[in-house]
Amino acid sequence: MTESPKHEELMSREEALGLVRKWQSEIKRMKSVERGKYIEEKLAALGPDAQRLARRILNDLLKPPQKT
Amino acid sequence: MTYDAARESEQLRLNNDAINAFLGRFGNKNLPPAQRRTVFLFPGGMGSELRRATTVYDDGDPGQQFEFEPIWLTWETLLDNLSFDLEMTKLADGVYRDKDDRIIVAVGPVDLAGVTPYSGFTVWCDLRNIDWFILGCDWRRRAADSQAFFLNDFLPHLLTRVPNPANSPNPLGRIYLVGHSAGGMVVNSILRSGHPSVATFEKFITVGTPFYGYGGQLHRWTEGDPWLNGPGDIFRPKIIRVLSTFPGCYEWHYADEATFNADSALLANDGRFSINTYPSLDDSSSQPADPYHPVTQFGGLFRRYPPAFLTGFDEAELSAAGNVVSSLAAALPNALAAKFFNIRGVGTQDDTVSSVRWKFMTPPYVQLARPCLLQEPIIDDPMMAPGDGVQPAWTARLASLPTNQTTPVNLASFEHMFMMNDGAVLNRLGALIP
Repeated sequence: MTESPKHEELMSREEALGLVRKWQSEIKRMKSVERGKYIEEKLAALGPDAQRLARRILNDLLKPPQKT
Repeated sequence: MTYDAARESEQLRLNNDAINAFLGRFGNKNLPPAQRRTVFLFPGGMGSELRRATTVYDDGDPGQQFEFEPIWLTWETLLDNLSFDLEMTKLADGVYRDKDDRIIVAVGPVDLAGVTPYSGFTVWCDLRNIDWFILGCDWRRRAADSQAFFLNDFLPHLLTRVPNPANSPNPLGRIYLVGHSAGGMVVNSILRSGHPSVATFEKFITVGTPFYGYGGQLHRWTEGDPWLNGPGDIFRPKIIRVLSTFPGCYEWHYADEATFNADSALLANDGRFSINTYPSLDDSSSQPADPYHPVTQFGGLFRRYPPAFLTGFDEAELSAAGNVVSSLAAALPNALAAKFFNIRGVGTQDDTVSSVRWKFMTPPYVQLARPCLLQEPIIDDPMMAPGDGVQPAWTARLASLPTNQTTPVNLASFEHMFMMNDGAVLNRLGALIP
């Protein structure tokens, strides 16, 4: 039976948000035609960690950070 | 053809590949009708893939067909501001159109880098010889829109796709509807629709679905979304403005005080999941702060929500959504209640936000700007509750249902978005779909 992803299958929120913010920042300075290739290269460089990043993003979309 | 009719027609057309695959799986099973079961799964909020037309809808051109490209969820959505194009426009008659009149449709579940929230669920169905279909919902729109699409458009359309229907088993024989998270609000809405098909469905099952709301959405009206706000939160005001155009998201708040109070005795008598006080309180007075009846102070200067002129927050939509939430939490007639089941996930730790405290926003509403130097207006209560990490267990059941229909399950992890793959959830589903 399939289990839920364990925490180690998720990239940490800090690492994932750091990556996304860094890429967002770099993409902003690029021409539109360069952006798709840039994203492809970054994901390829991540390798299997791209899935850990995707899991973190999907997981957190419905879960805003706790503000206490 | 109206915009909405064109949008629904295109949504049906784009589902044809998935329908054909469903009918293929169905046709390949050599099972007697009594052993056949079909599950329609409604994904959670933000859990459906959205695709946007590459050209503009033309009011004067009936029968248009469009090419589509994914808009939710892709890496470009996250990294290259594609999310801006999810913005909607409300017309004077209350009908919503998509940005620049480029139609957006929902098709199946999200898939990011090959990760989807429902892969384990579909494998489980296949292993049990259950036929399944994942019907994407445009989570930006009201639950009632997805309900009407399923009953009035999708099901009749699916039947027209059955090859040689006179000699084939009926794929709409024993039907189970399963809704994950906000998808359960669609299932709940279908159950209460009064549509003739409802009597023919076997069971209506929700998984991690809020009946009395949750606290996450309140943050978004003033904070946007951390994944979409951009570096240094530079796009935060724009993201807040885009999110404020989504009517569906107004239905995700804590239920109004009267609705909560109507079930308060049941909610307070739920063992370790009990809740004794209204979950949204004013930060200063500790009095209830009803998200659907927001008060203001000083002639409207001190506010719960941002002023409409700053973010487009729609108080009329808020009011309508409050009525929806209230109606979805109402007790059911016995015949419908007997078919309704709520699965609520409980993680290994009490780690779910269960209530919030609310500060007033004050002029010049700098909480909306970046960088925000003030405390955000919505403050999560540090006392965490049992739940699935997003939905507290107390909200994930219709309190008026018998307790044996709202059994909690112990999750292996806290991942609400992936709970449809969790062994405990699937075991419970197996008991409900014999």
